[in-house]
Amino acid sequence: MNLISSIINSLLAGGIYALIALAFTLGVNICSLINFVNGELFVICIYIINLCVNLRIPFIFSVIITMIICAISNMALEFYFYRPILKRNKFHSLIVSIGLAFLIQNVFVFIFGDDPQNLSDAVIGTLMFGSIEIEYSLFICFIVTLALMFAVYLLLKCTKLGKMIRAVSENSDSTALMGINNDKIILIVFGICSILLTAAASLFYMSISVTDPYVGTMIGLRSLAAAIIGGLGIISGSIPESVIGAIAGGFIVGLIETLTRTYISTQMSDIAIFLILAVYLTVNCKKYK
Amino acid sequence: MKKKFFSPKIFLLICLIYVISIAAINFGFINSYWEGILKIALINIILVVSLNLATGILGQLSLAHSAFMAMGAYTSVMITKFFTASGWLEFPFAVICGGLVAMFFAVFISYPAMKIPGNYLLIITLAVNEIVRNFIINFNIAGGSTGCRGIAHYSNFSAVYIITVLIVGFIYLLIHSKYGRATICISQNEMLTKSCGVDTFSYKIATFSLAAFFAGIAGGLFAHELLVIEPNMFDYTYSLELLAMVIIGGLGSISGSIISAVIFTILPYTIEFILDIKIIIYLLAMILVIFYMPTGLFSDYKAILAAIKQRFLKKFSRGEKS
Amino acid sequence: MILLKIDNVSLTLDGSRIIRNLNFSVPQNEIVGLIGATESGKSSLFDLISGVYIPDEGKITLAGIDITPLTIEKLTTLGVARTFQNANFFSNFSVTDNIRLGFHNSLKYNLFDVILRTQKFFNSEKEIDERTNELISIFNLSDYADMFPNDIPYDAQCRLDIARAVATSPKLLLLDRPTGGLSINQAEEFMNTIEMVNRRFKTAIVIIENDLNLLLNICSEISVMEYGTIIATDNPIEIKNNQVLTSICLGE
Repeated sequence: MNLISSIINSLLAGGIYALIALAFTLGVNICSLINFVNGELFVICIYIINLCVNLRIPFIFSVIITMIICAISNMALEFYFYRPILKRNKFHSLIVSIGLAFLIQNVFVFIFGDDPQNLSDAVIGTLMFGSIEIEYSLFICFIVTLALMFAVYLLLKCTKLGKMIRAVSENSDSTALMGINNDKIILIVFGICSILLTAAASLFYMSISVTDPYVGTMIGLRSLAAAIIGGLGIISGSIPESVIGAIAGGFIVGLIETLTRTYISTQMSDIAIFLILAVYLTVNCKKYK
Repeated sequence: MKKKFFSPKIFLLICLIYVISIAAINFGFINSYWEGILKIALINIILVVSLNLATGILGQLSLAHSAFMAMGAYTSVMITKFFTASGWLEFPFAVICGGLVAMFFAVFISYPAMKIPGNYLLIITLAVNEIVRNFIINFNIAGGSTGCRGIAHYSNFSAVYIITVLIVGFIYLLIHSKYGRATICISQNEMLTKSCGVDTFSYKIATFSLAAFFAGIAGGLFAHELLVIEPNMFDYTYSLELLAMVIIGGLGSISGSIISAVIFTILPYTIEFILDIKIIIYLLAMILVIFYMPTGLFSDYKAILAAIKQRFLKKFSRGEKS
Repeated sequence: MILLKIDNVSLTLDGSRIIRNLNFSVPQNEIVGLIGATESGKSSLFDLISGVYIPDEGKITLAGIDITPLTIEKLTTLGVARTFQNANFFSNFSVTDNIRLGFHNSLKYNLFDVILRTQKFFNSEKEIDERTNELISIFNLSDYADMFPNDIPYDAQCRLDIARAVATSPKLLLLDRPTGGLSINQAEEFMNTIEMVNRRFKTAIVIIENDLNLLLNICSEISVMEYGTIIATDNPIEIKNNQVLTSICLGE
């Protein structure tokens, strides 16, 4: 029983990691940039949702407002910071990415302080599946993650916009020559990433009662590990498949974390995840040529 | 003896700075507070120059430097506390052991990351910081979260100065040789470097581990200077500050790293109010430098010297006119 | 005397058999041409020889030594040099430094010499400086010696590429479409440069080229590749006169 309930509980963490991992994957595929700000935007979204709910705005509208704010911020970041640097030098873009992430975190802490915040409950209740009791929020988490995964997958595989995104991901020089506005497509993808981040933030908000501004770093890091396990760096893979990979990686990392936390200790969960990442990279190094 | 054989001018400059500093300290011109700050500046020079070796020369972003420092610090502290030999014996031994521990760990984490082109090392190093901190706290190493007190004060100015000169000299000589040139090429075009007969995998691991070794030594010096260490001193904030110092000084420029390490160590003590937002200013400066002056602010020391000379001459000529 | 012998190698990449049961040999000190339609596996054959990929089956020997499992850098040390399509160089190094890098393995000093700055270090560096300058004048790059590769004309970049490859003291030089992007006159001149390399440095050369006419004058034999295997090897005139083969090369 314990094992099964652990696995079910890991769906929450898995879902959050999966969504953020997908945001990382899309970002890397479209412009070869690991957008470390994803972790910090995630935390900021949580705080904005909290603020809106405390202002008596219904949860759904809070999420929508947060989505809009997050999308504007992410797209502004891409436009003002990443675009000029990526054109110049990929190495410098990595420095800007990590610098911005920690800059945003520290500015946030400076302005708002780093005391733990209590998050108001948005969703309470449990569902019964036979003899197993699952929290309502967990269930929503799983459903939302899968729904978004399908949505993004279908978008990439079946729509015209999806085709354009895939084309720009594979060969941005050719798409530019064919008259596709690469910059606009990149902005749209960053907007999609914001939607994923806000969804992850709302899932986090629903299920966890206390947070502080520093959770973004470790959650972002684990989601990045999840994205890599899901096949982030494999350039020859196709983009729609990498969507499934990212989500799968997220759930795998969530599972590893929950299982090591339950059966070994909390500290080992970090080490376990990165050990598995190291082993994965060593074993799969042939594919990355 | 690892000294710069190239130019006697630089050798004299190093000796001069040493003599002036030692005299100032012994005759009381520099009190012990500022002497401590100078020693921290020297330790930061080691850290920034070694990080520049990994980042600017090798081209691998690493945020693990404070973790390597922590390993060096804790290892050396455990050795000096465990043994009760004379300082002259156990201090160098402890510091070098600290460096070696950091080096072995660096080999361990860089092995998977270096097999693959791309910057996966950054992600692993971010995680390493947290893992090392948690390890120290949870396995209660040398006091765990309460920290370690009563460390012997082995780091006197001469020792720190000489070690800094040796390390910076070593890195300088290494860069200006076939090894340094090959390493710079690896960061630019790995396949082509392989085609020139360079075993890029070994070079990458060796360079990164060397940088970690020096960071570990700096950690040992650091611990025996501050006399008290805690796991929270070695979080990723320090790594970020070091990265900012590297970039503002100039990626790949040793002189730039030295200048920026000194300035950014002394600056927070002269402008007290920025201590709270130190990290914000450093990160902001780093991003601005990357955008507008990617070669770094202090990388061209000849130009800086020339500019200072010009200012000096201008002042004299204006004085004469009036 | 056969320098390079490829015995029945096959390579499968991403599910498709790129090289199938290929047999190839290169005589010492000769220039050999390799032609074929696009995607027939010519560059992949170079990848196999130079160590980028390891064949699934078969054996490759260089002067009697089995080189099948060796890495790129080990093969360069043993004397296999290779250029890629489109001139490849280090953009932040000057032309001189680019060529100097090819001499990496000729610098016979170790870490102690570097730190202690012994006479051996200075002598090695000086010797390499002289050899670099010699190569620069051989390949007519003297005008561009201190410039950066991005600022020099394309044919000079191609010469830079081959100069760097020659600096590694190869026994076997693999040139992948060396005249791509050059005008007809520049291409013919480049062919003369290749012939000079073969004469002067006693290097066996294999050239992948799409234009058969360029190879006629300098190659002692030409091999035709299709669908991952060599279908014919003969002297250039016979290949040229064979209608079937030339139409295969044109992709018909």
